[in-house]
Amino acid sequence: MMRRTSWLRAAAAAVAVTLTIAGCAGPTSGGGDAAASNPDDWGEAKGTVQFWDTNANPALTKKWQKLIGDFNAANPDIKVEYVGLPNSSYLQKVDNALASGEIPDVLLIGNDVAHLIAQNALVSLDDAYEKSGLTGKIDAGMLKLERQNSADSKLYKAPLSALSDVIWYRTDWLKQKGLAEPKTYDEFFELTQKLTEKDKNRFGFAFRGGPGSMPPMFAMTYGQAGIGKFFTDDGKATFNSPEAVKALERYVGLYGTVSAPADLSNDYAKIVAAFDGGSAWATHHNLGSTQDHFKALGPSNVAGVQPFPNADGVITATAPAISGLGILAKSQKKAAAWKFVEYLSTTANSEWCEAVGQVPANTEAAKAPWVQESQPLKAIVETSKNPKTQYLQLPTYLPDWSKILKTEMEPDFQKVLQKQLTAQSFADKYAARFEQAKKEYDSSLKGGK
Amino acid sequence: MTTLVEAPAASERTTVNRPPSRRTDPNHRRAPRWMIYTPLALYLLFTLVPFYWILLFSLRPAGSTSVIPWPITFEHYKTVWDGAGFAVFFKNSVVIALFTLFGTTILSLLGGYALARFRFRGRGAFMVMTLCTQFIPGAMMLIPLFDIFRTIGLINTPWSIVVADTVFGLPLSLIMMAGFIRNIPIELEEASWVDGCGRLRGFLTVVLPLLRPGMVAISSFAFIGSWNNFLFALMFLNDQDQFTIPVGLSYMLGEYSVDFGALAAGGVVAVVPVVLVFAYVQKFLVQGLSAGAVKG
Repeated sequence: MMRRTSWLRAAAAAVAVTLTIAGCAGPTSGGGDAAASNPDDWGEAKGTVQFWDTNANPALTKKWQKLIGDFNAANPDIKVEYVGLPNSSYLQKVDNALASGEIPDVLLIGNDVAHLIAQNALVSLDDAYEKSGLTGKIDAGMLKLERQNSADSKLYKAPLSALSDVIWYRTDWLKQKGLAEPKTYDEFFELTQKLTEKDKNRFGFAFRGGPGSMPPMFAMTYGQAGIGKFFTDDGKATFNSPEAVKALERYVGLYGTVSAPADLSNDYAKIVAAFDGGSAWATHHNLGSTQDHFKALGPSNVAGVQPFPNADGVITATAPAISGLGILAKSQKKAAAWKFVEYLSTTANSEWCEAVGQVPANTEAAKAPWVQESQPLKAIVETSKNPKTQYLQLPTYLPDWSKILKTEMEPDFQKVLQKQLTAQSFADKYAARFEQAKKEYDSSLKGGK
Repeated sequence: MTTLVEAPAASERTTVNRPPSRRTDPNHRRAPRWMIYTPLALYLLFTLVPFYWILLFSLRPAGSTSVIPWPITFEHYKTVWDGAGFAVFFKNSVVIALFTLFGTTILSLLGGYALARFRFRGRGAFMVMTLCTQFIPGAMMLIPLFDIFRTIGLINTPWSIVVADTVFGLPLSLIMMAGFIRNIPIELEEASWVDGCGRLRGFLTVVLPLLRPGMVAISSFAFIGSWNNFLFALMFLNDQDQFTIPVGLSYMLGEYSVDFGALAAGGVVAVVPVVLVFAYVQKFLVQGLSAGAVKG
């Protein structure tokens, strides 16, 4: 009996210690002091700058190392050290770094800028932009979009490139069948049906039904509906408007009819694999997979286009995702870090953007011949020049945005695809959810929280 | 006076002397071969298809949709080995995994012997607490470990990974090793002591050779656990030249693009050492894991 009691006590103590340790070990809110944004206080531009590339892959790592080599040679007082991180896990490392204080000086940032701003992890770059004269050299639209990510409308990320959503399709399949390239949504949907040959395992569309299914859903829904605002002026979400629901139903209708049943769980890697592997005529992704398509299919066999015009000729494109560089608020080498940021925003911008196949942020770089020669980029530039083009700004600034999309909408969207939930119910539910999230966000701003 | 004992009748003799039979049904027939081999073949197919997929993608040119790797290309291997830095990552992984293997095996031998052979106050509590450490996910301990390693100057060195992998692998190894040692009769050691051996020499000459299957099992787990560990390598290292294979492998999946050929080639490079280790030690592993299961 004594022995049993002793074991029980030991077990209880061990569990208590375990839980205490586990409870204490969670990440703290991290971040740092309010950013010192005046470049005059950043000290001398010298020393070693650590740069974390948060989207490393073999080809881009080589390019970064080349650009860093050029920068180091041109700035002998500064040494930039490159650390490549896998995109899927980089945020965990950054959060850990912020909590422990072992931070880099410069960070390549994509869609997670709001998360970092919320932790006071980044320094505002507005003053540095003004003092260096960089403001006039960078695309005004990209700067405006970037400023929308922060409640104080400041710039925390120096834009390098813009990544637009693209509808990709195989031109070689069209030639083989003697079909013309689509110019409208009607033609596009019709071609997905014509090019589906299920017995040959060829489908008209590689549908993204798994992780990350919401951005293409928004793009295809709003693109067809021609609605350029996510919220009306009085705060109502447009997601369940009759036009949007009709467009959503049409998009959802692609699943299972002109796409494979297994597409229900497709993430981006699987839609890219299906498209590049020859089992789908078209898919919806972005410029990020350009090189994969070109490498797998050949540039002449594939086309990337922006959203088609609706019946009124209006083109509705979702605002591009912007990649850029941020300087950490706790960096001790801000001046040197800024030199590197400035170099990537000017001298090296064209070379970098050509490597990633994205639209340059630097207005001079955007005129480079390679931009004009790249079919998808040319299509994007032409779309942006079209007076009937409107850009839909998704409310990525909402603190719950990622949570709503990933943990709430994605599972429900799969129910819609499986016909367990109607498109109307789905749209109604999430229109209300977005309105509530916006109300909370607006009231937190008013309350100064 | 001799008493003759009458021999038992033939029928009685056979009943008494015959060993017990496992087969009770005299009409039992063996299952047809297809009933055995069809499920086995299906299972094998199910298991091997992913491996074939990896080999196929790694050996066929980008853009090919062929189901056989022809024309064959080693371009993807060249990309990962030279371009992605797998040559360096592979070396780092081997060094870290080997040090973890030795650290875990030696410490579990020492600790396991103590737990198996000595009775001391708090032994039960120690075992329970050791087991409880398995409840804590590695991710939960990242920041405390990071702080400790920074304080003792291990951050950004391979030693941080070796120590973390050893510490996280040790509890299970310790308990397993204690079980293996407990299964070796103490009388064998006592015999060696009677013959003049000390405890250490008795352990080295009598116990250690009998522990070979157990040691192989534990060291294999330690090696494979360390080889596959992604999180610690990503978190505790800030130098490109110190990263390990799992980190390198994750480079192949970008935010918006994925190079399946390079990913598959990287997967082959990552999986080959583990397969070789398993192929070599599988017989020991089975012995080690089932040691003491049936005690005569």
